[in-house]
Amino acid sequence: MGYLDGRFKKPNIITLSYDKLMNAARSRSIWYLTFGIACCAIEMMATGASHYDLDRFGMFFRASPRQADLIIISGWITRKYAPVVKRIYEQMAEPRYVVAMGSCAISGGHCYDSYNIVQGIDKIIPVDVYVQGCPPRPEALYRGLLEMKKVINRETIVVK
Amino acid sequence: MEIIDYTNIKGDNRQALKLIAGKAKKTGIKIELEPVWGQVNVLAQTRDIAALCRLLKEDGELSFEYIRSITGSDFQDRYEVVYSLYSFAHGWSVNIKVKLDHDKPEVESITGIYKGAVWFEREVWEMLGIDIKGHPDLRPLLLVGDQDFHPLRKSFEIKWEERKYIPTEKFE
Repeated sequence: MGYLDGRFKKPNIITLSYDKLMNAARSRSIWYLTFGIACCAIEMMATGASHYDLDRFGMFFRASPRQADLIIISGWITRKYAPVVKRIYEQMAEPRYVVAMGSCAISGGHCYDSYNIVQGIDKIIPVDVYVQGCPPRPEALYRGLLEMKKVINRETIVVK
Repeated sequence: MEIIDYTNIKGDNRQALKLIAGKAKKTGIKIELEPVWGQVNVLAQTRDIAALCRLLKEDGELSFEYIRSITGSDFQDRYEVVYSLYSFAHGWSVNIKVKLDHDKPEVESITGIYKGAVWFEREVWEMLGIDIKGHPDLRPLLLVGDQDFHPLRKSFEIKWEERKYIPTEKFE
């Protein structure tokens, strides 16, 4: 616990800004939705599993959009599927964050000119962090998620 | 209910060829047979397709009770639709091909005979623009349904265009 050691043997107070407290809490418990779309989802699962272990950052798979903070778009979105993704995003409670994982979710990938593809998930929902790669390695994904932490730490309650 | 062990049955397609040829002649359906490497390909006429499927399914000696797939292809001067049937009882498989007019491709639905054909025919309809007559539920299967092209036609060209945003009302 570092600098808090020994300071709470008697009743004591901490003074800090509300933003810092909220951001510290939020950025250390990003629960992300159990939501895999395509081959990037395999890498996402590997990132969540014990070898790469996202749990050490306080990130867990959460199976309900109502209780999730983050949605990782891990694959290409067909035009038929796009309303479903948008609906899942709208079901999430604020504050909610989006990570676009892999080139398909960023811009449509190698099928960018197909008749049935959404050219990037940011055409439908706002994206906070883009993780490039096809698919990104787990290291790349958790670097992106640590960037996500920085995004959360920059927030202020006034803006939000 | 009788339980049959199908595991050891090895299909001999030559017998299927003989039987199909005989039975089709008896019922007055014109077919041509082409044996290709253990497959049975049957060229049928477009108007006979439902009658032929009914014969193959309901005849006790043939009993092709399973439809594997329906696919279509565009040969620029004609369309072909291939029905792939399978007989569990004998281990036979047969492909029925029908040739369709390129300007106005239409074929009769076989959903009255095989219920599993509903999705296959929807796919053929939306991907190739082949009109399925008598289909109970002709909705887009894989596409959104607002497009004015058929992606598997040879005349379809992929070109860059900005895709439209899809409003949420479309869902449900």
